[in-house]
This record gives sequence, structure tokens and C-alpha cells, in this order.
Amino acid sequence: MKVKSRAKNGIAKVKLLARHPMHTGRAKDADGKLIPAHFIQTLTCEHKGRVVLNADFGTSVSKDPYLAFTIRGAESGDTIRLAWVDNLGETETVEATIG
Amino acid sequence: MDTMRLIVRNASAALVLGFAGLAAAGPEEDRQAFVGYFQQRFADIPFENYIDGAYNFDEDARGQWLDLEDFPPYEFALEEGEALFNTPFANGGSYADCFENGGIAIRQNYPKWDRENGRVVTLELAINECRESNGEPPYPWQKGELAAVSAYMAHTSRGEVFVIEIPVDDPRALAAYEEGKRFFYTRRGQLNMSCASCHLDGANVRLRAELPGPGLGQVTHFPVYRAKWQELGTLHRRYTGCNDQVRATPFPSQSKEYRRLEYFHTYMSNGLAVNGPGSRK
Amino acid sequence: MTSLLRFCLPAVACAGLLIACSKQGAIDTAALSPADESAPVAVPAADMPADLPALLEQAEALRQQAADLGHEWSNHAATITAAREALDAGNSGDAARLAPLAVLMGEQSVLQARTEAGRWRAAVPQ
Repeated sequence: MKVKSRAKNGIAKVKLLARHPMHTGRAKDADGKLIPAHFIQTLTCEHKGRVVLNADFGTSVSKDPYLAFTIRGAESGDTIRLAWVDNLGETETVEATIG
Repeated sequence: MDTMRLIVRNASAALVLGFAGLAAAGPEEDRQAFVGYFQQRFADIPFENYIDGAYNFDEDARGQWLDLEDFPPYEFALEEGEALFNTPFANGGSYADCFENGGIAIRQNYPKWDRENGRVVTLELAINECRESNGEPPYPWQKGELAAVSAYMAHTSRGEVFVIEIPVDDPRALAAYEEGKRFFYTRRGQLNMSCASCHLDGANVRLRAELPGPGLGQVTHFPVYRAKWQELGTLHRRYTGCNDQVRATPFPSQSKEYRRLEYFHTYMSNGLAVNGPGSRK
Repeated sequence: MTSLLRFCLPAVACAGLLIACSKQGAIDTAALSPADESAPVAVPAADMPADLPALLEQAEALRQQAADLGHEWSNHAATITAAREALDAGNSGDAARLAPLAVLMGEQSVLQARTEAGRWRAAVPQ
């Protein structure tokens, strides 16, 4: 997961690009067999100990999800913690500093 | 209406020719007429911005695209391409050995006329021939590793302006260019449409939910991550798709027909900067 | 309640009338919907036209000719195959419709190649 963030006047804009196949479980491979579902279920962002974003992704989000959002009350130098969990129990956590 | 414009355009062209004597209409004159066509239709678009394609026609789409360019969807493939480019072959050779300047910042010179073999060489053809001459199996065309390596080489060339050459002392080169030009303007398929139908007369004319981009500056951002493909694809992959869409049987990637079309198509963008890899809907 | 009846009754009556009429054949409801090209045309099996195999050969020859000229239509081969399958299955309705269509597609694609050879230059900006 790549994260970029910049703050101005107490508002931080966060952009992230997560690397994930986001298989819906409905598509078939070249041999005609269903590709098992493998997709991010939840993505959260924590800032100063509180959860500022809690997103339920699911199968309608496509491969390598890109997300942009803003956080109020954030300053340059603050740390944010982003984490996703997928339907197979895999997770990724990234900490980033707001620029 | 279009027939009227065509008749008027051809009549005035004939008049000019009559007065000025028969001007030698070569590729450079073609290019100037091509550029002039778009600048007359879209007076507000600066020349160098044509590399942004259809984003010139829709400010909202341009805004979303620029936002996305912070984290371009092709970023993972680009990193993969860089790794592939820098990995030596089994025999110890490398891509750098096959290309001028070690393969860095050379995208703007392709396609080239190969005098020795009498053919048009595209960058992607050269990549696979480099692999084969070093005992490696060629990559499949259109996508995957080939597109990734091509994307990396394009990325190192960003900002360089295209300088496609058609050697005057080899008439075969001009003939190849003319074949490419013929392809661009020839209607094909059950829907009876040419490249020009959508990307010359049809540029910025709504086609279902889309606005086709202008033919000028069209190739500069390839290979391209298309949201529809969910991955990178090459120029010939798009040529294949376009032909499919008008129900014309496509030609194979890197066939003589598509290489010549790319030769003409890229020459028309001489003077515009490389901005590949790109991202589009 | 009465206003509801006043609204609904005429609608129900119209629907009933439509259904009743279509059952009696007074209104051709099939004609009300857009023509469906894939719907088989009802033609008795005994009426399989004798010239269909020749038409298929002609269609295939034209397809090859168009391909040699670089102008094959991508749905042409599938149309010929569908016609051949209909012929083999004794489906005279489909076969009688698809075989001439396959020939027409061949003629049109070859014509396109020839016409475009003379026309394309007119599309080039001067």
C-alpha cells in the first residue's frame, strides 16, 4: 500500500493505492474455473488514537484500489495508520507521516 | 453537411494548388495539415497539451485524472518494468546492450525505419528482438511483461519530443509511411469506420458515453493503463480493440499493417513530448 | 377509494382488452416489440432452398477475398458457421435467412475494400 498525505489549514488530504487483486469470486480463469473470491473487506485509518475512516470495501471495488479522503484536525508531521483486512484474513498495515 | 465541408475543403485546396503550382505533399506537409486541422477546430488547446488527449475536452475528467496521477494505476507495472529492464539475461547480456544510450530516454525515436531489412521497427518489436538475440523467449505482445518494459522505457523518456524520421533517400520508408496513412483514413469493418472517423472528424464528438481523443498527440502516452483493461496495454492492443469495435478483423500485433500505422500515427505527433505510460478510462 | 377505482379500472380494462384481442389475433403483440433478428423465422422444413450449399460456398469465397484485401468483417466467419449449422440441422428458417446474409456480408466487405481504395484520400486534411 502506498500512501501520500499533505496537510493545509488543519485539513489533511490522504491518497492511497493498495495492491490487491480484488477478485469477486464470479470471474472465470482461462480454463473456465471460477477464481476464488479474494477482496479487501475493511480499510481503516487511525489518527491520534481515533479511527477517522472505516470503509467497507467489498466486491464492487476493482483491482488495486485507489482511495482519497480528508482528515480534519490534522497537521504536518502527524502520523496516520492505515490498515486493510481481506476476506481470507490477510492484512496490511502502513504508517505514514502527513507532509 | 460533412460532404459539403469536404467539397469546399477540396475545392479550396485545389485552388491553392492551382496558383502555387503542384506542391510536393510529403509527410511534413501532411503533419502540418493534420496539426492545422485540430488547431482550427480547437483554438483553445495549446499545441503541447495535445498529449493529454481527450482530457482536453472535459475539465472534470482532467481533474480526476490529475488527482489520480499522484498514484497512477500503472505505478506497480512501472516498477516491475524497471526491475525486468535491469535484470540481465541468462547469457549475461542486457537490454542496455541492444539500444542506443543504454535504452534510456530513447522512446521518442521509435518507430524507426530499418534500412537493412526494409521494415518499420517499433520499440516493442525491438524489445522482443533484443530478447531473442540474447537467447531469451520473446514476451507475448499486447500486455504483461512486454508492456511493463515498454512502460519503463517510455517513462525514462518523458519530456523528450518525438522526432520520427522518414529517410528521404529510401523510397521504401516513404511507402511504408503512406501505407500507414492509408490505414488511418480507410473505413473498415461492418460499421464502416476509419481511425479518422473517431479521431479526426469525430474528435470531441460524443460516441455513446465517450469523447474520442484527437489523433494529434494520441500515441504519446502509450503503453496505457486503461480502466477497462485493469492493466497496462500496448498501442497495438488498442489498435486491435478499435478494429474489433467496428467489426473489422484485427491484424496481429506487430504485423506489417500495425507497424506502418504506428509509423504514420507517431510521425503525426512529431514535436510533442513523450508522456507514457498513461492512464485512461 | 372511488378515485382509485376510477384510475385503476380503465387501466385493467385496457389490459384485459389487449390480452383478449391478442388471443383472438386482432392485435399482433409480436409486432409491437422491436424486431428480434435472432428469432427464427417459421418456415416449414420441407421448404429448404436447394441453393443454400452453393450460397455458403460463395460466402466463404467472398470472405477469403475480403481477408486477402485486409477487409474481412470480424463477424463474417461466425455468420457462415451459423448458416452451415442451421443447414446441417435442417433448420430451414435460419438457414434461408443466414446464408444470403453471409453472401451479402461478403459482397459488402469486398465492395468496401474496393471503394475505400479510391475514397480514402478525400478524407485527408489538406
